[in-house]
Amino acid sequence: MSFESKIFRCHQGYLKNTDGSALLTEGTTSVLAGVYGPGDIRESRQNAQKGVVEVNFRPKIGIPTLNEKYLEQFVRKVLESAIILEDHPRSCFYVITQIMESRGSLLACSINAAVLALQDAGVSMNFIPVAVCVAVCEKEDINGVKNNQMVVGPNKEDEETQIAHMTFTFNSVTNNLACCHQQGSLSQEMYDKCLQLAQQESSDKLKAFREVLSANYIGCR
Amino acid sequence: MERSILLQPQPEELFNKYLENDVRADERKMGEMRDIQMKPGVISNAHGSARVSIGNTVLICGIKAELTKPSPEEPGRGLIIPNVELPPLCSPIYKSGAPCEKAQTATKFLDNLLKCTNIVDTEQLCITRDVLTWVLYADIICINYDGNLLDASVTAILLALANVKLPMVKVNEDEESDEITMDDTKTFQLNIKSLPVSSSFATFDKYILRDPTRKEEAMTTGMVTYVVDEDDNIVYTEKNGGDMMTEKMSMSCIKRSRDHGGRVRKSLQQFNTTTTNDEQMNEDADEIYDMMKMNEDADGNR
Repeated sequence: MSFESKIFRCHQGYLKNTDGSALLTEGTTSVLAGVYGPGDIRESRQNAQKGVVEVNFRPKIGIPTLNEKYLEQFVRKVLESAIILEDHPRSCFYVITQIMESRGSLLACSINAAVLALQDAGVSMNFIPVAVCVAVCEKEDINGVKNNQMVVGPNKEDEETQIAHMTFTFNSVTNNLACCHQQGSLSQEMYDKCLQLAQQESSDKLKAFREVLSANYIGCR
Repeated sequence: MERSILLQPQPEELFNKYLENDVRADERKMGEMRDIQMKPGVISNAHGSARVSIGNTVLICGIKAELTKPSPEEPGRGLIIPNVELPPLCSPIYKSGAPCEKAQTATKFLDNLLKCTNIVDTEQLCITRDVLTWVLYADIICINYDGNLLDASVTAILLALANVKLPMVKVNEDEESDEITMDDTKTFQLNIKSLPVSSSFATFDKYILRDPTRKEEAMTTGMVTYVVDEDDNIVYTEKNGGDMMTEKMSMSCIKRSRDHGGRVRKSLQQFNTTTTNDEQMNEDADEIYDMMKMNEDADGNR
């Protein structure tokens, strides 16, 4: 793992107009998330029993395409199970994730940024979703032999040689899988190894989340 | 016969009662799939087509091939462009206009799946490098939507790709003219290298429902889809929201996906013949029209 992938920097409260925001940099990827909520939503889209989550995934350049629509559903579904929506009936949480720099592990960084923005807004959650990205890449070792290596938090160079790419989101309370996206051929053995590796990494990441929060609330601003 | 859960005054309680008694509203067991029926070559004007139905969910896939210049990034490869449509015809939820979110995400799912697997090696679509290539537009239209869109779409697109017959094309490399001759009498079929099969499950609390219907999808909180290929490798996983999955639940789902994959693959391979005689192929298709009912054991499903 290179030095770059160890970078985890978050600035909460970055935006002044939103209820909560977070600018998260993981490795070389950077995502800015803003949250408005709980707020108004038109009657046809309201839910009388619980709140609704809407996510707007915006690419760095250009208008959102099918790709962004696809990633949006992952962020939305994770937040729907994480936020205690029963406390906010007939309301809506608008989450806007703006990609500032996409150089690997994009989906994991976006989910984490959205979660940190919700924390900044003070929204009560059932659990903290922690997203980790793992890729299986073809790497050459010292002897020039090509083999498959698991890389946690792959950067752009790693993703170019990848055979499989996974994003796992864990429940901080029970450590079970909240959300998963995997593409690329993997044997059952490799899948289990990657899942274990991701689980270990998620506990480190959760500590980093806690440090970010402590810095904001305990330290002086 | 399916009891209309949603018309009851307290749908969630009734749904819970069904699940506690280990049965579903349409009297299936938790791990039981609905009947799958497949038929290739249903659209005569298309280069390849298929109709797949899982229970009441009916999808038609039509593939139209066009000639184009290959993209500069991959000059030796062709393209397969999927598109899933959920017209207002298939369900009262969908309105006319822009494609709904479900259709868009299903399109992207198929696009990702085609790119990360070796179903069709797109090099065989290329006629002349950097000059001419085939692009296949695969349109999947849902005629009737009753849950489990992804499984049906994957099966439909596999069957339609296996059914594609492309005419032989020659580029006349004359210095004066750039003629393209197409020979309709000689056709070639695509070499399908891999048959990944998808299996979807709906999650609700601690229950996992195999092959959910539309009403079950509305009542449950999340969906998991596993795509497994013939080497038992997990090729694609999509778990969208819903409740947490323990490792035991994941393992059980993956095992069922493998078993299901084997059975569907056997049926798909019966259609994957390279005969050029159309009549013969239609006769075979009619004989193998009904696939066996997919029954699974109820144990190990939680």
